[in-house]
Amino acid sequence: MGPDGCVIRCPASVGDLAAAPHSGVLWRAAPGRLLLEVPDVARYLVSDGNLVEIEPCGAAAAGEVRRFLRMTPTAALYLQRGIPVLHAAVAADRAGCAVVLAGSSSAGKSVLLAALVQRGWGLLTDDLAPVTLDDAGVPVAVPAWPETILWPDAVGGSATSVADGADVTEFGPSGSRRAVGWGFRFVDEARPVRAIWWLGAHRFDPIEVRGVEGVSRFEAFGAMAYHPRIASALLDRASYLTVAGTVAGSGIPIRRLIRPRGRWTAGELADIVEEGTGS
Amino acid sequence: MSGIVWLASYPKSGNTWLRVLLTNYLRDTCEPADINTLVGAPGAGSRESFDQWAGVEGSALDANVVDRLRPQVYRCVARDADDTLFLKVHDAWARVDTGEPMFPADVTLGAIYIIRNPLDVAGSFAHHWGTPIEAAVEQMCGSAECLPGLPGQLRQQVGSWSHHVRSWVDDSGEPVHVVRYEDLSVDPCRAFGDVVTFCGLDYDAERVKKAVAFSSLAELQRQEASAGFGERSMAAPGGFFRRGEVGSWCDELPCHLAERLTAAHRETMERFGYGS
Repeated sequence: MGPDGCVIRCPASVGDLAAAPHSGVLWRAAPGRLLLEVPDVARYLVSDGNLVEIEPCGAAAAGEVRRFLRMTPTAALYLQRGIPVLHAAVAADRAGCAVVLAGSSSAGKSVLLAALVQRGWGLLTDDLAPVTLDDAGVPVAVPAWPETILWPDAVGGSATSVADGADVTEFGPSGSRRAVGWGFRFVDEARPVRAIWWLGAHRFDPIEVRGVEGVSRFEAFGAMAYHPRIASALLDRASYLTVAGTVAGSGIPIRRLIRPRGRWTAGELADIVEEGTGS
Repeated sequence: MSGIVWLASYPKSGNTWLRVLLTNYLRDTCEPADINTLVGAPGAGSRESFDQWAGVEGSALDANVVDRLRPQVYRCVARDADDTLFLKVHDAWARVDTGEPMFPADVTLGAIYIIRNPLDVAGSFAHHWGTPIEAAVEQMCGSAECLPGLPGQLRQQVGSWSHHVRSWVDDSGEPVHVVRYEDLSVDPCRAFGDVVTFCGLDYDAERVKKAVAFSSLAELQRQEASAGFGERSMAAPGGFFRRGEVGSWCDELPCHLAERLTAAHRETMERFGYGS
């Protein structure tokens, strides 16, 4: 998957972006260009929202090269097309509408997504979620891949597993992660956004739910960005303001959903999302 | 001047208290600073900061690769800061597998190293991670290289207590100002005033006095009781701000464990005044 009309060239000889005005440790960004260098895996040059050139490292496994392609390079393709990308998973409720589960790393997005999928919901994407406007100006979430990435403890014991019935494979550093395939639940077309849940974690026991209102809705959309520094370098301001302003000004509920660290809450969170979304 | 002052310590040695003092001094307001918005956070081990600057999530990379990239992340963090940046760090000072210092000299202004009697650290360490005190003592003697994994944190390699102390004080080659927790307890205005001076901040005796008053254990416990403290470990059976007493090991640490720690760390303990 990935944006329509995208060309991927691999292997390719990828140059430098030496004069790029924006940079981090592994990336450089210039208007319409992103260079990402993943140590021991590959260099990715993403251009104009429609081309990815990949120069794999000699010993890199093809699966590793693909795995990182699905992260920042894919986000860059959408950003270069003027489409904001949220750090979020997206489920499809029983009416087929998109329910965005946003949050930073370790917020619990993937586990909650998997718990909802086990209840019969569909899946559009895990971890990065492009959000744009359809022809009628309605915010829609765009699908990516039919899998979730989980830590082993979420897939392990039957009491807590959220991956029953799914295709599970080990991957990542020392086999430390699990890719859970949900092809039979995949929704492969953009769906209107029905609700946004902004996940977090705190050190207190009660699960906390509260609405995000007023100007905070606009700020929240920005705070949910996937790699905000890269987004800021690649995404043109007008496109961002159009989408963020439309979401903030819409009737789409945005709610904080804060779970306690230290105990398993996937089922409770799924209950709250189901009830709160009216599904 | 832009650059990083590392607030380094073995865990449970008074790092948070020093950050409370610094926060109150820097903000210089008429009421105590919020303990949930302290300077020095989110710290050198923050996964979120790493992810932002690396451009790839640390959880997708091998831990050694993450370590190799950390010096560059700190350069980016320093480059992005307008002023002196204080960063909490529990890692021992170390070189990554390429030989480069993890905490790069070119963006380091200095380090404050907070040291505390390891006999007192043990009880606090056990409470924080919810482990038996025997396990805490063994960790301090080097049984495990890394701290227990924490959500939102990168791997942090601390080594034994003595190794940790020597790594920063002797091996780093950086300007290091050592603050003894015990001195901070006995004469906080003097000990913290020295920190202010070392950091190159404008010294103001009245501000130091106010910062000390706003950083009392009673105030920290009051804030934690009313609003919680985000840095408290979920494994801890009670609050983060516990006793803070010098010499609490006398009624927390069994004799054989005190002897074990003393035998393992005698040289470093004596060097910093933790003799018999």
